[in-house]
Parts: sequence; structure tokens; C-alpha cells
Amino acid sequence: MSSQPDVSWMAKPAVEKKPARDPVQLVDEIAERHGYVSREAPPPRAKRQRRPDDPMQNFTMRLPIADTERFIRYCERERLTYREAFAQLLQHLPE
Amino acid sequence: MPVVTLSSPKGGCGKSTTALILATTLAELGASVTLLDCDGNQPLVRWKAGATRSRVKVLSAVSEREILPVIDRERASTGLVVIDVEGAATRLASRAVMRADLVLVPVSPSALDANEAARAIELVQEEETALGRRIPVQVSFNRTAVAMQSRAEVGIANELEAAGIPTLKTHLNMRAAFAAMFAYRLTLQELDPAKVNGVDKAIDNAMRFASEVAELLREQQQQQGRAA
Repeated sequence: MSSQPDVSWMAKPAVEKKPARDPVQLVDEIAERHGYVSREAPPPRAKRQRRPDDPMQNFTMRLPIADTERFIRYCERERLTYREAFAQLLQHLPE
Repeated sequence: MPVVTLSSPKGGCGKSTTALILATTLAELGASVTLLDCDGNQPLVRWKAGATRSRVKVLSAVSEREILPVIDRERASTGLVVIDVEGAATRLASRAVMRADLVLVPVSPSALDANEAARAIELVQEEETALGRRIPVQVSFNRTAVAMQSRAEVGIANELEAAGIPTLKTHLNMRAAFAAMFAYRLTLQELDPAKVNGVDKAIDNAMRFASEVAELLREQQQQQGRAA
């Protein structure tokens, strides 16, 4: 009699856990949708100067509205320009 | 320990008065109560700076950054935290709802108050869904006539009932003694009946109101205990 194969590894599909979202950020986004906004002055922004040796070019995309709005909300909350936020995101990519 | 947040984006609907009546009455009955004054005008901090000998602890918490840590600290050390927020649609008010075990939405018998109350309730319901926990909300009528209900009050009450929004049975009536608490910076029990009309009736009204809220909180605690 042949031994039975081990199928335990396929007994239950692995559930990919979504990273838990910060509940405060979640509630702040809900608040904003309901017109509940921050009344506190944002921290003063440090003046940034573009590096003169950094060549620039335009970059245009068609995006889902939800993604666009999320990106804009992030920029507003973090007081970043779109370019700065984009550069921040790029830091998460492997070189 | 439970957190009760008074919430409505409308100013002048009775949040601070309701918060003060609730906190001082329960403290009078022996509860350990912290009152968080998150209103930029600091009406409750100014009240506490008066001659009152109330045991209620009043703290100022007016910044978005400090509100959640202050709530968490106080709920760990006192029997009840009552939060009074500014009458405006602010992120701070929304965060105060986030930690609430009960949200009271004060409404005086006016259509304007009722509209803004509906807005406050929508926010609570959406936060409830997002956070995955129940945040009970009750509308709390105040400045209502003692003798009989006005047409406006009946109309608003009917609309709330039709929308399935629970309302506290006890209304805080229009009483000189409630306003006098702020004028003299005293509790109802400390007011001089020779100077203020109807103190006894105001105390009775406040006791019935606070008892109803305390009973709601007690039931919730029991339900949470059973669920845990």
C-alpha cells in the first residue's frame, strides 16, 4: 500500500492580510468627507530650492479618480507638493 | 471607563450646558468624572476657575494632537470622561467621537439644530462602520418648555423616531438655574435659591437626566462584559 501524499499545505487557502490602516487617519478622512476639517494652522513649510543640476520633464497620467483624490489628500495633509510626494514614493522602490 | 462625547457641528445647541449638568450631577452622586473642555472659548475651564467646590476635574484639551492621548489617559484613571467639543465641524470633534462609548447630540427645539444633529449622527455612523465597533448615539433635547411640548419639538421628535434615531426620554428643560451655573460658576446644588428661581426643580430635572445616561452606560458596560 502506497503512502498517502501530504496535502496539508493546500488544506486552507492562505489569506493575505491587508496591512491595518491607521484608525486616526481613517477617521480623519471620513471627517473630511463630512466637512469636518482641521482648524489648526499647518506647520510652517521650509523653503525648498530646486537643485539647479536636476533636469526636469513633464509626466502626465490618466488615473482612477479615487487614486487621484487619495494622492491629493496625502499631499495636503503632509504639506507636500505633488513632485515632493512622488519623490517620497519613489524612495520605496528598489534601485 | 466610559467616554461620553457631546457632539454637534452647530454652536449654541446646548453642548456645554448638557456636559456640565451631566458631569456635575454624576459627580454629586459620587462618580469620579473628568470633563474635557475642547472648546476654544474654554467655557468649562472658566467655570471651574470660579468658587465651585465640585469634585469634577476639568481639563483643557483643544488641540488635535493631544485629544486622543488625553482621553486615553483620563479614561484609565477616572470613572467617566465627558467631552465637550466646539460647535463647529472640526477634525478634533471627529476624533472625540472616535473614542466615545456614547455620543450625545444636543438639540434645542429648532429645525436648524435638528439639521446639524443629522449631520453629526451621519459622521458617527460612518466612523462606527470604519472602526468596526458600535458607537451608540442618542439625541438629547434641551431648552424645552416645562409645561408642554412645542410644535417644533414634536415635529423634530417625530422625524427622529421615523429615522430610527434614539432620543433620551428626559429633556433638559429651559430653566434659569441651568444658565445660572455658568453665571455664578457653581453647581446646581451650590446655587442660592434666593438668587435663582427653580433650583430644586432644576436639580430634579438634572438628576433624572443623569440617571438615564448612567443607566444607558451601565447597560452598555454589561453588554460589553458579556461579549468579552
